[in-house]
Amino acid sequence: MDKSEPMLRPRLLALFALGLVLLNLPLVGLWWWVGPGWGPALGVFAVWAGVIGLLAALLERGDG
Amino acid sequence: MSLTPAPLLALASAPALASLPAALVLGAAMAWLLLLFAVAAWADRRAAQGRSVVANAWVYALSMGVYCTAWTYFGSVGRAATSGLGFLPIYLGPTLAMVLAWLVLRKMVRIARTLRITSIADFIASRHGRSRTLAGAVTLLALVGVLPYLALQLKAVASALAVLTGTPVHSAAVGAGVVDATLLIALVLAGFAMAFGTRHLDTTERHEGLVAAIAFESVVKLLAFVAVGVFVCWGMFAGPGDLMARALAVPEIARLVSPPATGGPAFDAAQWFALVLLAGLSVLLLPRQFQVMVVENVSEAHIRRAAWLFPVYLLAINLFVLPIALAGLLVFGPGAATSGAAETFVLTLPLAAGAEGLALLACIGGLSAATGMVIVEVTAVSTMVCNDLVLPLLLRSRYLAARDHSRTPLVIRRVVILLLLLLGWLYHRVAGEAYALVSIGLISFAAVAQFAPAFFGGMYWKGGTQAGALAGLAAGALLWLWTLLLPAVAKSGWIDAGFLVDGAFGWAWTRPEALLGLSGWDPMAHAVFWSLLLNTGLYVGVSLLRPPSAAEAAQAMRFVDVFGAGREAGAVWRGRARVVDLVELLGRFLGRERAAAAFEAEARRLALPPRPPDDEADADPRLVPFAETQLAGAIGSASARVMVASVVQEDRLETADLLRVVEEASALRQLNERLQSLDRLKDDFMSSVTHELRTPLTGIRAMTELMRDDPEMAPAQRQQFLGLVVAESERLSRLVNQVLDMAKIESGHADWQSAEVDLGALCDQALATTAELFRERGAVVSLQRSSEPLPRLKADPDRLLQVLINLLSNAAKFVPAGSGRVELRLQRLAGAPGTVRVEVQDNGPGIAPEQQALVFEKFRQGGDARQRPQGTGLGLPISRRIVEHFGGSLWLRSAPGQGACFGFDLPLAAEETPR
Repeated sequence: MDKSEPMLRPRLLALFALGLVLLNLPLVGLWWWVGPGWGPALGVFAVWAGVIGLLAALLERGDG
Repeated sequence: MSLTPAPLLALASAPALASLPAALVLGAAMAWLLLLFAVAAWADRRAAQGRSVVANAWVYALSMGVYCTAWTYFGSVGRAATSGLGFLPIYLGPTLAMVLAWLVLRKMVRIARTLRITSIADFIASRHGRSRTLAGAVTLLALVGVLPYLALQLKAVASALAVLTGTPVHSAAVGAGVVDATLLIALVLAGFAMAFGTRHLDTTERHEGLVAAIAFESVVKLLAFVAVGVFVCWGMFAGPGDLMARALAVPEIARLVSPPATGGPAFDAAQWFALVLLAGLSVLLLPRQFQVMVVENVSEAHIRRAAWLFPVYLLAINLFVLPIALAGLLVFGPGAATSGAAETFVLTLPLAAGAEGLALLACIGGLSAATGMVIVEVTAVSTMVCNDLVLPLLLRSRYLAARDHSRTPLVIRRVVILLLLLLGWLYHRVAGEAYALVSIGLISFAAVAQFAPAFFGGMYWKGGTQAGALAGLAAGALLWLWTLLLPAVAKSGWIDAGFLVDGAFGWAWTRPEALLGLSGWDPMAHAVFWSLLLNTGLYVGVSLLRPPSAAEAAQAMRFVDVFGAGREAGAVWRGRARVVDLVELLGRFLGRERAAAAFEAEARRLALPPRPPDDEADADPRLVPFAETQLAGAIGSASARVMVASVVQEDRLETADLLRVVEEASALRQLNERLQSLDRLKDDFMSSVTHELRTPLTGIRAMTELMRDDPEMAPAQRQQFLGLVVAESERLSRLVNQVLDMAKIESGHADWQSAEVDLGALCDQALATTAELFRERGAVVSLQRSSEPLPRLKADPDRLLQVLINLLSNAAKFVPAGSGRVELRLQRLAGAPGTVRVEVQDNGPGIAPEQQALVFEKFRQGGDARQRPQGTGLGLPISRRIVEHFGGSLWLRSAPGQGACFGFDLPLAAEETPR
């Protein structure tokens, strides 16, 4: 096991749960109410980029 | 790229498309394929020279981009043209899966590497007792699911070529030249997969050329798609704002980007969730994904970076999907969304704007997306078909007995690759017009999603059995067929669609899209829900009916505990086998020399006495699982098991025996690891000691040499050097004494006196000893003791004095010069009257939380390395050992900027507690 594993595991699981809610469940539907226009697309892409950014920060900060 | 303020096209009517000469388009396509061969050959050559180009996380992440096929390249735009953002779940699912990649994918890679697993069918079958039936069932389902997907790629290639050369796209009478070109491309791709995907027999040896070509393709398709997106937004329109303004002016197009309340498409949460789930599962379970992510993985460490780089890739390739879809609908009219023409907007938009060069680049991008998928998919599926369908049949026919078969699996795989591509091409010719791109892709996704319960259940639950996996898979596959595939076939008009309304045998509750009366759902969400529910339920339920057999339990341990005790389970085998038989068997598939070398290396690793490969004596039992694992890499675990069983006499092993042996082996391993760890600690200690000794020795040597070489040296300078030599010698003596002291304490050979100790008197003595130190530093030191007299305790007064002096001199070193304040406190511990507490509080810089544990380690000192005062780094570790010897504890309380407080608690009544 990687030394950072014990710390990383709960954080990744928490990010997965957050991503599941923000990118998935009816919350995504809420973006439709931002429109019409680019608003919904930009909203979803921004959340998507945010999840990736958090993931990169978590994985690149580790000592593995 | 020119930034044009107004659209280049008149938007009122669909423009006539330019076309490119067929020779140019076909020439470019063939040149592209030749370039792929060149890249793969170059990468293979580099690998042979030991200079791998794929052994990095970037190439690994790019190779994962094989997920983005023609379906992404062309189909996403088509889906966006009909449902706005509805194309996104296919990419959000993999992003979520990648969040867990470090936990899940790394485990998959470790399992596959340990057990030499080369395909997803082998993975599931190996976990469930190396079942041939299960491996065959998974392969069949993968084959049924993947074949239409292959056809889809060829259809995309045909359509792209047809659009560029001006042949009608959606006509059944596609030009003969183009059709032949598709067949030609299919054959070239077969050649590529044969050359670079079936190079070795042992498929755990990676295919560097293939991976390099796939990564290259990923770059090309991304660049091509983004180039079209940028051209559409800023070349054909005056930016995204202009594009959106024009889209909102056309009600049929505006609805794609409008809320449901103002006429936009309703947000179907169930469908969104189902697609995210399907895509998240597929990115790990599709045969080609398993190939690039697991089989071709060079290092587990690469997963760490690829886990976020791959989602970045997905995001980048999707940025311009919606703009291209909106632009296409504006240019070609809203009717293009339903006619299927939207799927070629990536090509037709540049053509309509007269940018033929860009259209050709876009076509190469699409070709790239299709070819990448085809090459990896046929390579992966050919391994499955060979190992799990063809070889078991040959085993039954005894064709594989006692002959050299080192080329047989390779030949089978190559034939399968050719057949797969020919079947795919045939499917595309016969049925290619029946489905939209998106429907075929999703049906394939739903098929491989049926692997999920046995796959993930097997990785994390030891209770899963072969019967459970088979029951779940069979039920899931049947439901997939009934609720998804047959309705799609019926909707294509090939079979009577009556069952969609009436159900089977007129039973309304069996209606494929409203099973058990569950109506109103999106058909895909409905199919995913029922198939995965029943599949999972049966996997768990049937598995619980009986406990796993010994073989299943052993494999379960190897999978679930792959990072721990599972390693031992693989080596458990009982029975009789001869070295000569094992070498001969392995040699039949790997070549005799390679087999003999493999056994020799393993025997060395296990510290077994050397034996010739033709030795007829019994082999060490651990060599049998080794032989089986090696063979599994070549022919699959299920066939390997049968082959090995044919040359050995295996004793039946009960699950309880297995668990006991594994437990013993695990305990031995832990003991061994502990010994290795102690050995490393000893090495570290020796290295630190020699380093610490070298520093003062170097100084002494340098100064004495200077004095020797310069007889004219001024007396004052000579005196200064001599002073330094004396100081360094003292440091050296202190260090040697402390090292000896530490060694004595740690080995239990230290002399401990036992006497009545008055801690107050000891504190006074320590303060007197260090008074000069504080005076030199300009620091004030004070003693605070509780008013009530403290009873004496029994300990070694010299040792405790050593601790006190050490803590005080440490404080003196770290307080600010001229304004230092140190307080020595002696009191009974509040709430624990039987314990006395001594604290040394200073007003120094304090110690950062992350360094607080380090200061108690040998040769580790706190503070900034540049301003660190002289010391051996052994004072605190020795002090801690002394305090612990008398049943107390030494601790530190500090925060940066607020000084440090070192202290220890000693039990008053405690006698000496020998360690």
